Amino acid sequence: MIQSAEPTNTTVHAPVAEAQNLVKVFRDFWRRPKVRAVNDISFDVQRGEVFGLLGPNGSGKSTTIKMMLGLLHPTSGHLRVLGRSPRDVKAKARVGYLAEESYLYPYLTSEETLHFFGRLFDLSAAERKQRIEELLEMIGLQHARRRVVGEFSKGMARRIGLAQALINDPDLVILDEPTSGLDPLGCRQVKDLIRALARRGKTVLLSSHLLADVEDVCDRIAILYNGRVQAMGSIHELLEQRDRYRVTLPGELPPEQFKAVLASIRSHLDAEPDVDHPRVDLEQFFIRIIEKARSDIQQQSGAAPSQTIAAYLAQAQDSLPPEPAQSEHDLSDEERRKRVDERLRRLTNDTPDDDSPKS
Amino acid sequence: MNSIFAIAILSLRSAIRSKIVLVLLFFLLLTLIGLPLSVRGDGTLSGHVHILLRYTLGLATLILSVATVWASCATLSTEIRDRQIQLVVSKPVRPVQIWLGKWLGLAAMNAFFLLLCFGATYAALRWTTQPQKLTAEEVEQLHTEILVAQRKIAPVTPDLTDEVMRQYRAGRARGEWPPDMRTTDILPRIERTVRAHVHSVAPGTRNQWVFRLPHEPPTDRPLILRYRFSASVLDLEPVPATWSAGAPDAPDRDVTSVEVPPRTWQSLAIAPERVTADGTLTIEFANHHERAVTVIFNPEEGLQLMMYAGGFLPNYFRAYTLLLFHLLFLAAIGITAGAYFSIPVAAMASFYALLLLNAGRLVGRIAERKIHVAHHPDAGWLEQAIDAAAFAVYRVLHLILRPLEAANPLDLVALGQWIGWSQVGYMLVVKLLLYSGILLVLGAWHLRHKEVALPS
Repeated sequence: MIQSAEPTNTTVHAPVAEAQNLVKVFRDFWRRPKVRAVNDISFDVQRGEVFGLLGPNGSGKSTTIKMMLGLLHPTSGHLRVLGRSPRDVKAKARVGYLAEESYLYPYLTSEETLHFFGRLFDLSAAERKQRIEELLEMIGLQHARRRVVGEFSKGMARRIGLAQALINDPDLVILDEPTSGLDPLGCRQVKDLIRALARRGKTVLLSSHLLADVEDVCDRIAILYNGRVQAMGSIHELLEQRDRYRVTLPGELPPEQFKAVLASIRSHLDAEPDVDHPRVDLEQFFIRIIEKARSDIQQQSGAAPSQTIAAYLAQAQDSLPPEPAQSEHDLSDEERRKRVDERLRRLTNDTPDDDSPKS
Repeated sequence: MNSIFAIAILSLRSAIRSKIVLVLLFFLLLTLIGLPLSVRGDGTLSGHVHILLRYTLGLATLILSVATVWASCATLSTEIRDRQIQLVVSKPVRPVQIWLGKWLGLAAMNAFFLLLCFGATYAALRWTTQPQKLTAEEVEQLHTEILVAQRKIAPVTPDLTDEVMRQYRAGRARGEWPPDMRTTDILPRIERTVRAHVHSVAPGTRNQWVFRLPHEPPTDRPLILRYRFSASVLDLEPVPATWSAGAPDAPDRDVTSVEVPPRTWQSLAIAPERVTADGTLTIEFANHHERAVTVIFNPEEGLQLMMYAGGFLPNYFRAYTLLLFHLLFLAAIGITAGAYFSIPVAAMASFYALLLLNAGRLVGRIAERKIHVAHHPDAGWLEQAIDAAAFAVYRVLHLILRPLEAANPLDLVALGQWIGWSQVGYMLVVKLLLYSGILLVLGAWHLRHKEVALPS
């Protein structure tokens, strides 16, 4: 198994979720073992991090999540969520769950659905009302608040599912295939939401078999296959190829200088480097196109566009963990220079000067 | 509590939006309106009241019972099947709260529908028994026997033990019983014969019964003797007879001559002054039939003295309460079955439980060996073992079912019989707190240990 040393946002807090030697065996009617869905896996999820369970279908992701919610019981091993048994209602009060399918009551309207789940968390009527307003706006379904969920498209139902998972302002959000059934815009919103939640000190555990989703939002991942953890660590450490380098130039070089750089590289490496133009991924491109179109057309049905995060979810909290790194595109030149220096130091195992600024 | 009410409201919304409520309402209205219009009674006022209270309301209650069993089985098992329960169980909700929420939702629905049935039937009763539609005699009967609540008093049964044992010894001596027949099987037969004899009157003879009243009767209302007899020959010709009421040696006994056919309920008003100071009333029946026709009163139900105990509406309300308790108990059975099984299995198990509940008296008679269902004593060890096991099962069933046995409240109301608050309290404790409580524990325990996200 590949495993990195430390989680990205390691803090002094106890893990939000902790599994040790977790095993789940499904049995048949006669109690004979049928399938070993989870086979001796161990991991922990730290406060404020986004932890991804990655794996193909049938790898044990959903089974692990369902054990963390008390919906399935481990055959053996140790599992704690927020320091308690997953079946403890005190732990459940601080958990939000989006199931892999919506599993909503088809005869309830959006608003009634959220009121129902809000009442299960014992929220007062005023608090429920306020949160539901904010959540409906956040998921872009204010116009469909009185429509029954049974009439919804999969994507719309998924959004209601997401809203119900957040109604209690949970400390731990468990999302099983969160972007399943969503259009690219919806996927982007969900990913932004996950990042926003993590920035506010919430812990997010998600499962997915969509690699791009996981790569975009997760601090750490565990790759499961056949019920076992095959690799675990931070995205950066797992994906980094330490023997290869990529330099992205901020602007165009004159052809002569470019040729000189290449010649220098060839002479030092005695090999031909790959040269290409950096490109945005398809998701970014798609979103750019849609956002441009959106400015012209007012959407009449389906999920309305929304850029907001529910206010109660975006509220600052005490003792927040440090903000995770921003995207390179958002950095100033000075910040980018510092980051490159730091990265170079790490790559060359160089010790920083005492008076050099720490990133 | 918030969670319980949320789940209760959810159950109601589910019932309303899945059209269960509409369909149920349709069938109930069809019953409440259609049955009295399509069924003709025996032409008497009490027959008409029976059709309304016993059959119409009884059928409506039966429809509600079946709907309750089905809905209660479906309420949990459907959510487990469709996996909505996963979202509920992942919230801070205890299994007890889930069970209670479902039960409360069904309770509210049943309370409403039963109230609707009782209200509609009462309205129909009052509308069809307006004074201008009845004879003066019927109006009198309505107010003294029907729209009242009367306490039923059975005649004092003499101690028959000596007579039973005397006949047993005589029969044994005469070799009337097979030698290998068990005494426990013979004695109940003899007792039934002796009891029937005590309640029969041969032609040209008379018989007396004593009623012991629980308290002094009201002076402004007559006591009502309700009676029904059968004749020793297949003859429906009226039997001429005389009823006398009062102490046998009293000079002021009320004597009433009657001529009534067998197998029909009759009533006789008796002045409360005929009750003696010690609270007893003696009545005497003289059979004046000219032919050899013996009159036999059913030892269990053939003679009933009815004493006014209260108004009709409070009694009607108590009947409503008892039936509501019954429906809520059925709901508890269904919800717990639904927690364990899928809908078809849960429904089958619940209907079986419903059958057992209705067969409580039969089970009791078998368990007490009043009905002989065992193999012959000479049967082999296997048959004997099966008998022993079967009796053990019947005894356990009897133990479980006996506390739930009670007369049908609609029968009592239709007969103008008193339903005491003690009965209501007893059923509240037994059916709702004890038995439904046990079902709640079983259901919640299973929900707590059930893995609701097992792959199907």
